Amino acid sequence: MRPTRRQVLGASALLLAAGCTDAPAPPSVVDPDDVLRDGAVARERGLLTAYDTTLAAFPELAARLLPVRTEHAEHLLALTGPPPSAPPTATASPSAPPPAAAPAVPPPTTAALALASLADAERAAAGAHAAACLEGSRALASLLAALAASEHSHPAVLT
Amino acid sequence: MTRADMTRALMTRAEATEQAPTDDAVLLGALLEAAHAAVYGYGVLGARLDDATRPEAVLAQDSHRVRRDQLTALLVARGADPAAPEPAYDVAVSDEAGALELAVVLEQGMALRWRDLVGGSDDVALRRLAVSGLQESALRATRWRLLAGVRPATVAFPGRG
Repeated sequence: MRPTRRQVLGASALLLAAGCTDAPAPPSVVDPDDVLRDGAVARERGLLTAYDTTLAAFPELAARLLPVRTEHAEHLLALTGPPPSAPPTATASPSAPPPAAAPAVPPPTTAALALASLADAERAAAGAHAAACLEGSRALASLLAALAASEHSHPAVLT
Repeated sequence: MTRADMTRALMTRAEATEQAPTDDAVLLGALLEAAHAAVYGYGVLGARLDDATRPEAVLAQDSHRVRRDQLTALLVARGADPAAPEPAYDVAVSDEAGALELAVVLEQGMALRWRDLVGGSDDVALRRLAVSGLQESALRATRWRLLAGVRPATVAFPGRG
């Protein structure tokens, strides 16, 4: 389990309290890209779940929703890499708590409401991806920006 | 009158290499060239759209003008020389289908370069501008594809060359 910011800060405080100010700065334990990537993965998984839930309730929306769902699956793959060659450490991530709350979609009562709910979830993810792309390495920022733009365009085909 | 190559204006990218890493001004300059082409292109294609659709092209052209002016100011602030627009570009649109097709090409060209800026700069303000521009272009490209009957109307990775 990756230490939280609070745990890292807490450890630093202990070092300071123990008078270890001359000790070399501890190496960075958390790669900022990992945190940003984990957030984006959680958002994409949340969206995939929302599409699956909607598709189960409103199968008549399949023609409209499946192409968009496919794009989210591509986003997830781009973030996590191809599954067959994934290192064993990747098995820990599905059970890890998502850094950002996955969009919870209570079953809407009509197809129109379901589409509006998906559009809201897309807009929220677009904003979060866009904010995340301001940080991190250039390569990850470029990917997150593309996801932000893709999500931003999805409501146009939903509603 | 010399007519500039629109494809070149839209698609020539500022490629970073180990020997010659691109800096922000180079990326902004490439964007400005594409913005000039987009402003011109929307003027040409708007004339081929019907009354219901033309306002969307006018709005898009206005948006690219705003971006053009932002990019010009950013280049001036960096001491760079902002490129002037070409007097004309070698683009011809004969009907509505051609107009919609060109609109998608214009937005894809801008998207490509906005994404190059996000992935080529560590400047947070530039990344913010670039992701906003990328989102705008991706959404407009989707709207034009919908009007043109192109499906799927969205792409998974806008700005991918």
